[in-house]
Amino acid sequence: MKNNRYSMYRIRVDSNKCTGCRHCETACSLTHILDKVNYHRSRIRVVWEGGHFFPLLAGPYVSNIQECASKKELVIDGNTYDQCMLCRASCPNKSIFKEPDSGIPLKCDFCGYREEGPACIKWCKSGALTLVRLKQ
Amino acid sequence: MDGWQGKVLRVDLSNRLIKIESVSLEVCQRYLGGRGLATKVFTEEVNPVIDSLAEENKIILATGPLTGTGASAGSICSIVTKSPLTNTITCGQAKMHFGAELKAAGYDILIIEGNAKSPILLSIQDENVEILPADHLWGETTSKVEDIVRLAISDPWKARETKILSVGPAGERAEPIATVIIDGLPVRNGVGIGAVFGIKKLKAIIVKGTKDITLAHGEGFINAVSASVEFLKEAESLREFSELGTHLLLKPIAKIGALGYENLSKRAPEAIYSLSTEFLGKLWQGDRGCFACPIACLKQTELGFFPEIEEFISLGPLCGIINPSATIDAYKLCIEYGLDANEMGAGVACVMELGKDLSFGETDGSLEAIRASGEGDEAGGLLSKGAFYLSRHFEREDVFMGVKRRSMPPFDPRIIQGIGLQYATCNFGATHLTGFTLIEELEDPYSIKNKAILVKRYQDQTAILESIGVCPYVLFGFNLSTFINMLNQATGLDFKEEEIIKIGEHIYDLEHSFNKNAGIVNEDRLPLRMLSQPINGMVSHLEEMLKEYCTLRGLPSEE
Repeated sequence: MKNNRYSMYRIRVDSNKCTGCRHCETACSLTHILDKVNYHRSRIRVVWEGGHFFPLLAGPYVSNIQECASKKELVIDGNTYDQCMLCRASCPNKSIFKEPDSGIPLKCDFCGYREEGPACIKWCKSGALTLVRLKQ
Repeated sequence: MDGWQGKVLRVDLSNRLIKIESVSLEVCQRYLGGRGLATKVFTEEVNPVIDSLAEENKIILATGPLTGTGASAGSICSIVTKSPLTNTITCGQAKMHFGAELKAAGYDILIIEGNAKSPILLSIQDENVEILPADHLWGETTSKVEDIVRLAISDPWKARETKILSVGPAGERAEPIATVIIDGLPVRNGVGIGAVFGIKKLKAIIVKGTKDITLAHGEGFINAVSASVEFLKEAESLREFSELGTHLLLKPIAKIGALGYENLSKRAPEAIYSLSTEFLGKLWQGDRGCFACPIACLKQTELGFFPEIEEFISLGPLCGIINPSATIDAYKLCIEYGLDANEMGAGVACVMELGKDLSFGETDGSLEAIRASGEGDEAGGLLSKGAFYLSRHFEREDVFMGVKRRSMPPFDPRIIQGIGLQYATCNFGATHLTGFTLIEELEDPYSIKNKAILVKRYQDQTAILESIGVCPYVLFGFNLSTFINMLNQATGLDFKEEEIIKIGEHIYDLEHSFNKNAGIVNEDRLPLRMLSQPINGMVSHLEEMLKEYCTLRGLPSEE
């Protein structure tokens, strides 16, 4: 592990494996605000769309939504998906990825740097979230 | 209060009053929450002799201290009421994400009392609680109710976060075998509860919450949950359970000949082996998990959930039908109309044995009968009243395979001795869900040695898990101590295992004495067929086990 110490890591998402249990949401909220659980404060959310679960990691806040490309429907194999539902940005249009009381936008920070990786991965048993280490 | 929210929401439907009360730490500590706390409140507030469909009956929903906290499998919300099917107290387990949402709305307990005059819908959004008209939902099937409610919410994220508990047309007509549905999944052990919702004209409860749940030792709690997830990855039995769900038991049960076939009248034929899990696996399109459950034992099909093992056998082999896709269709009908699938399967099997318009193995006929009874058509006959009333109507009570008016799950108690004792002694009528001894018993099903202790242990552990808000299926591989540790980290209290077991015993006693006061005495017995008509040369030795069991529980032996 020592050689990898300063390598970067990323979260690999395989939505086909997601069971929709949302254990990642509780892991995230507990890790960021110790002693409190509230999935609304989580930086990962599992969204049900087009008959599938999609784990979404909160991206940066986007304020310019006038020309948003995500406001379209996507049709794949006869299944219709609302692209906006699958978008991971926090934006003025959405009620997710915001603190429920203050409204401050949330963004995934990979839980800082922890040897064991982000909290959501640790509690994801389905294999939907896995850790990928990138060598620099 | 850490772990608990400390609040009780009381909704009086008769007078349209909504009140928020508090619950003390001392009471929470003594009854834990969930099933324990709900039973305590229910037995204090409801007179056991009332009619279950009377205005005085109440419905109590309670979450546990671990519900919604992120504790592994901490998704359970218990629903306690007096059941019109059995006339006993009953406790259903609402799974999926309903319990977590109710807890996030800030409540440990929701008490529903009185009857509304016209169809209503209870909407709970944190402190904002409303009783809304539900005429537009009345008569709709359960999936339609969820669609209508969700479509009416303009924000699509909020619509998805909103959790809906509803009854189908069977519940509206207060049929004794009506159940409650959440997200297309029936409430476990929910038979009869749907009827009480219906008589109260409560079509649905919709919940959305944004509140925090505080924990005493966040770091210790995270470590405890992490350890349980790690354990899950390594433990063989749990890995298999995760992969196959409750169908894990299908093969071993079929092998020992304990799979209920043709209303438990004969041994299943060899063809039953075609229902192997490898074959069923091809019908599954992925796993579904309830809130914070890393096991994710539920299986999905194109039509929704795949029935769990007892529902699958009841709607299939118990009616002489060995055709999984027909069983999926039958299950889907049960979900849509809000009927209990196990009770429905047993009812159809009774009709078939009696030869009333149906005979064993008739797939289309049984589907039509289920549809008709869901719709309330005459063709459905007495099916929706349950197998007991049906068999009594035809003066053939010998074909009713159940205890306390509730049909047994299709696991033969003549072969698996301990489960027979569980059926007989369960306070909610014949069910395996409150004492899932099958997990351990299949290695030694025929003996009656130590079975009383085994049954009592599973009953108490289940009561405890349902009280703290954890799905009792975790007993497939976890020890109770794992969850006591989580409970202690979450609440900051110091529960010891022995102390907790005492609480489990006390819950059983509370339920038992409620039933006794309701006039349910000397009913801890199995149907005659189980005692006198051998299968593979075996009958149930209930008598001997029951004696030992009563001594263990400190109950007077029945004569």
